[in-house]
Parts: sequence; structure tokens; C-alpha cells
Amino acid sequence: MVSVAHGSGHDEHHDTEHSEHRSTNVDDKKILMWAFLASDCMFFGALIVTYLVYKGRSLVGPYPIDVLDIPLTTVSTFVLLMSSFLMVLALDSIKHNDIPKFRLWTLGVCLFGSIFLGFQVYEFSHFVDVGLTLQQNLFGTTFFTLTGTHGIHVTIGVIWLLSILVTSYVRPMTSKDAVYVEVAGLYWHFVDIVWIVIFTIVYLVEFIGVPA
Amino acid sequence: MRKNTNHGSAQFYLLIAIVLGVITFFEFAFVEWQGMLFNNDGLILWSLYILSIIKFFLVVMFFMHLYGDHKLLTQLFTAGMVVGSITVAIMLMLFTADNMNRYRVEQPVSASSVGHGGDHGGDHGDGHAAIEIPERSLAETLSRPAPKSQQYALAPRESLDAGSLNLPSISLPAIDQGVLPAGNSSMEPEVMETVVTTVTTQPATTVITQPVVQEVQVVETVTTEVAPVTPTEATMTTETMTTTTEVVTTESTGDADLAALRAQVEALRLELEAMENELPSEVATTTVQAVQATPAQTTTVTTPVVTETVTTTVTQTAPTSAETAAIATTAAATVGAAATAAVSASTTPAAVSETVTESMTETVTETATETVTETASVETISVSFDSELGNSAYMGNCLACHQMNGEGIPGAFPPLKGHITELYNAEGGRDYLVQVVLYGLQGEITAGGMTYNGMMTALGNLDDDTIAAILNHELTSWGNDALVNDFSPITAEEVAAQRATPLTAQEVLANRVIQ
Repeated sequence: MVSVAHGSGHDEHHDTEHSEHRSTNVDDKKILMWAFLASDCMFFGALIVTYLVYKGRSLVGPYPIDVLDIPLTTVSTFVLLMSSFLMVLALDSIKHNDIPKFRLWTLGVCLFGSIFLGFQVYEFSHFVDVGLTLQQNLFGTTFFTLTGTHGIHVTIGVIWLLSILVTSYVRPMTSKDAVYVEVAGLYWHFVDIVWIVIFTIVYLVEFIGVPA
Repeated sequence: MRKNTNHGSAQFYLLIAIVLGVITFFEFAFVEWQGMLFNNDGLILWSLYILSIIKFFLVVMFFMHLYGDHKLLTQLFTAGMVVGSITVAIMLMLFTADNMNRYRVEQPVSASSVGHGGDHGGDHGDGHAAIEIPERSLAETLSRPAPKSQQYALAPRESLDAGSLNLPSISLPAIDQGVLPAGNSSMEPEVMETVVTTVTTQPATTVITQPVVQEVQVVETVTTEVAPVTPTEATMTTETMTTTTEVVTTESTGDADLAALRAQVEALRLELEAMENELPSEVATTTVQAVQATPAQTTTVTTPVVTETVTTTVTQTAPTSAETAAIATTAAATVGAAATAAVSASTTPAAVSETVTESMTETVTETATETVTETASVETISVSFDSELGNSAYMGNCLACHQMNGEGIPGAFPPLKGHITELYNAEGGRDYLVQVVLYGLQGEITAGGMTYNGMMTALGNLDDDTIAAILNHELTSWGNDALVNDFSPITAEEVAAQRATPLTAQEVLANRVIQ
């Protein structure tokens, strides 16, 4: 056991076999990722508030109510949530040295992420077809900027997880590599929670008072 | 390996996932089948927010393992969340607070409430019915594609394309600069003063683009070279005008051998005569009629016009091609757009003689200017000012707010179209308009049935000529020329006179000639 300088109650859970000799007993990569996610909160906060500030200020259509599709987006939201579930299973598997299951779940995450992206590509191209472009109105500008940035995050997440999946075939991976998966997983879950917020603020709230 | 945690198992994760899925289903149900579940929008809204927050924390706590992980990580993430949330809150407050309401359109309930001063931001209670219209920010104004009016403005030019007129293409040889007579000092410009504008009441013709004018000039060069002004030739001139664009290339090729040019001109003239019958019959016939009806007058009038316009054109083209002289003679409404001198032939001979006579007087007193409008019922306006300067200065200084079509932005920037004319026609209106441009305007005004409470920038840094030109441009654009009574161009001297007594933007408001 490593002696922990400030010995908080939680630290007991982390005095694991791969603990390092440092006061916090937390892997640097995780700290770094959480710090990045904290900054990403502000980034998405800025984009979300921009959307809100310009909400309802478009002079020409298409307006949100004309183009947003709640059933479709509900499905894609569900897909993304389930990908988070698969992500956490993948992490659990590699922590138990169950590499085949780890590969299966990771592939599942990539697949679900890709399905979400497919929905988004379909949504965007449909919007452009009905005349909503980045330049069309304030809704177009703020909507595409916000959801597009999120889509880029998802894309990066898929690529990242795929690269880990490929790595597992290139060299043997064990539970000692779990931290790499955990960090990628943190990123993936964060992308998921950002979408939870976007789904409510951009999509759901728009249709309150507008029966289907 | 994760130990000692009660949520470490796959079953626990599955439970969380199911909860997340169920919550998402309820979110969908609340919105999609609203009215069946709740009939209260506020309740639905807050339910959605709360469900969203629950999902957020479920993922963060159990999928991201923030619950049970080192508290340093919680602190880090919380810090980011707090700063982000504060930013969002501040931005929302800033951009939805009273300062945004300044651009909200408030329609007065009764006429008496017009002119009621004070802060109207968020003041929805007393005497004003706030109308929620989509508010428009400067950012949107800048981000949107060119307004349709702008595209419209370009249309006349395209309609003058040689192809659309179905005319034979004639290219002229380039003129060597050295061949040209050097001096031509007699043609030397009094540029600014002598540029002449035709104003007609046709909306289409008021949208003027400078390129059209330059195209016209070249063609007219041709005519001047060839023709002494006789009734016959005058007719020909008119015809030439309608063909305009096809010789456009000459303009860019610059200078050409003069003899060759003359030969080409002669060829062109012959071709035009040959084509005479094919031209729009109105133009051809009425011109002849007009000329025949008042042969003497036509001749007298046309001559000075030629001289004057020559001056103008020389300055507008390159100084080297001094030989290039021009007269723009408008025959039809479409071509009447020319910003240089123009004579429009009327369909009614009687009206022609009348207006020509009238214009003659104007020509003598003010620099060559004539306008003969379409029908006898339409009033004739004679203007003499630098419309090119007015147009370009408008583009540079006024366009952003008052827009290409002069209609402003409802609720934010008042229109000029149909409004500036009311001001002009009122007593003291000329001076007031000059004051507004010179010193700006601040406070509540009503224009076109809408109330505005903003601020117009003072443009006193512009020189007198430019300010006069801008105002004249505005008074004769967008159909305003049909609405002004007894229009005579605002002069630089008038601007200078107003400059003598500086005002504040609020004092200008006090001088407002209409309420």
C-alpha cells in the first residue's frame, strides 16, 4: 500500500495494483482529461448561450419548429446514451482482463457513435434541402455551429476508440492499459452529456406548446 | 480492477442505462403527446429541465465514475461547470435584458402616445402594446446574403446585355493614346457640378448602376462624332442609345486609332439605321413624332445638352481619351437609368413639347438637365447634382442601416423610402434633413407607422458636396422622386449654412418638422 499524504476516504478505492507513487494517487492522464472536459464545459457553454441569445431572432425561415424532428432525434439520443452504456461495459471488461468482450463493446461504441453521426448527417442534409444553411438565418448559424461542434467531438471520439481497438490487435492489452480506455471513455461520456443538454435545450423545449 | 464499489457490476450499469432510456422516452412523450399528460407548458418545461439534469448527473456520476473517484477530479470538473454556468447566466442576462428591448417595436396605442419620451426598454405596461416581432441584430444583417433589392439593382444592367438585345457585335480597334488630340481643354470638366441625372418616376429606372452609364458613353461618342444635330440625327441618336451595351468592349480597350474609329462609327450608324424598324416600335415612332412635332425646339435644346454632357463624360472616362465625348439619350424607361444627361422621349408629342420647353428654361439656369417623363400626367422633375457621388456615398455611409432599398430595418432603423419625402415636403424640411445628416438624430421618432428610439450617427465629417449628394440621392431614389413636391437639389451651400450653427443630436430631434 502506498502511503497517501492526505488520506481521504475515497482514496482507498484507488490503492490498486497499478497505483503510482504520488500524493493524489490519480493517473495524470485522467487529471488531464478532466481538466480538458472542464474547459470543454465552458466551450460548449459559450456555444449553447449563443444559441439561446439568438433564439427567436431569425427574420427568415426555416425556423426551428419547421425543421426539427423530435422522434428522429429521440432515437439518435437513445443511440448515443446506449453507446455510453457500451463504453462503460468495455472499460469494465478490460479492467477484468476480458479482452474479447472489451473488443466487442468498443466496437459497439464505435458503431453506435457512427449511427448517431449518420443521423446527424441525414438531419443536416435534410435541413440544407429545405433551405436552412449556415448563412440562412441566425438559427442556421447558431444551430449548425453548436451541433456541428458536437458532431466533431463525436467523430474524434469514434476515431480515438477505433484506434484503441486496433491497438488491442497490434499488441496485447491487459488491465494495465485500462487507463487509456478510461480516459477515452471519459471523453465519450462527456460528449454524451453535452448531447443530453443540447437535446433538451435545442430540440425538446422548442416544441412546448406546439402539439405534434 | 475496481473494488468495493456497489456500482461496479455490469448489472448496475445496465440499470443506469435503462433509467437513462426511460427518462429519454418520457422526455419524448412529454413533448410529443403534450396535453395528454400535462396541460401546463411551464410544468412540461421544468420537467424537461429536471429530467435532463438527472440524466446528466447519472452519466457523470456512474458512467464517468466521478462518484467514488478522487475528489480532485470532481473539483476540477465542478470548477469548469461553475465557470461555464456563470458565463451562460451572465450572457443570458446581458442579451435578454432591457438594452435588447431598445430595438423592440412598440406600437403606440393612440396617436397621443407618440412622442412620449423616456425609457421604453421593457416598458410594456403603460400606453404601449409591445409587439413581439423577431428582433434583428446587426450581426444578422451582416451575415445574411445580399438583399433582393440589391440583386434587383443589378438587373437592368444585365438586361442591357448585347445578347439579350439581339444586336450584332461590333468591336472597335484600340485607339493609340498618342493619336488623340492632346488638349481638349474646352471639354475639361467641371465634373462635380455638371453631372446630370435623369429622374423618372419609374421605379425601375431609379435603380441606377454606374457601369451602365459608362457603357452608354461609348456609344454616344459615336453619335457625337458623326452627327450634327438635326431632327433625323436626333432620332438616330435615340436609337443608338437603345443599343448601348454592345460596344462596351471599346471602353476597356481604351484608345483607338481615330480614323478607324470613325469608319467603324459610320458602319455602326448604317447598321443602326437598318435596324431601325426592328427596334421597339414605341421608341422609334414616338421619337420621330416628337421631333417632328417640335423640330425647332428639339434642335435648340439638344445642342447645349450635347456640350454639357461631353464635359461630364470626359471626366468619367480616362483623362487620356479626351476625344471620347458622350451624350446619353434615354429613349425608354429601362435605359433611362443612365446617371448622365438624358432626354427621354414621351409617348405624347404634346407632352414632349411642353416639357422640352420647360426643360429648356432649366437648362439655361441650371446646367443642362432635361427629363421628359412617360406620360403627361406625371410631373417632370429637373435635377442637377452628382448622383454618382450620392450613390457611392450612400453605399459607404448609409447602406448598413437604411439598406439598399431605402426601407431601413423595421423596428431598428427607420425607412428613407416614402419617409424622407414627408420631411422634405414639410416646412423647413430641407434644412432639417441637412441637420440630421450633419449632426445625427437621437430620440423617439415615428416613421412609416413605426416608432423608433435609436440614434443616427452624425456624418458631419463628410464634406458639403457629399452630404448634399447623399440627400439628393435619397430624395430621388426608391420612387421618392414621385413623392417630393417641387424638388430642387439640395446644394452644398445649404449644407454649409447649417454647419454654421452646430447642434446636438437631441437638438436636431427638437427641430423635427413632422411628428
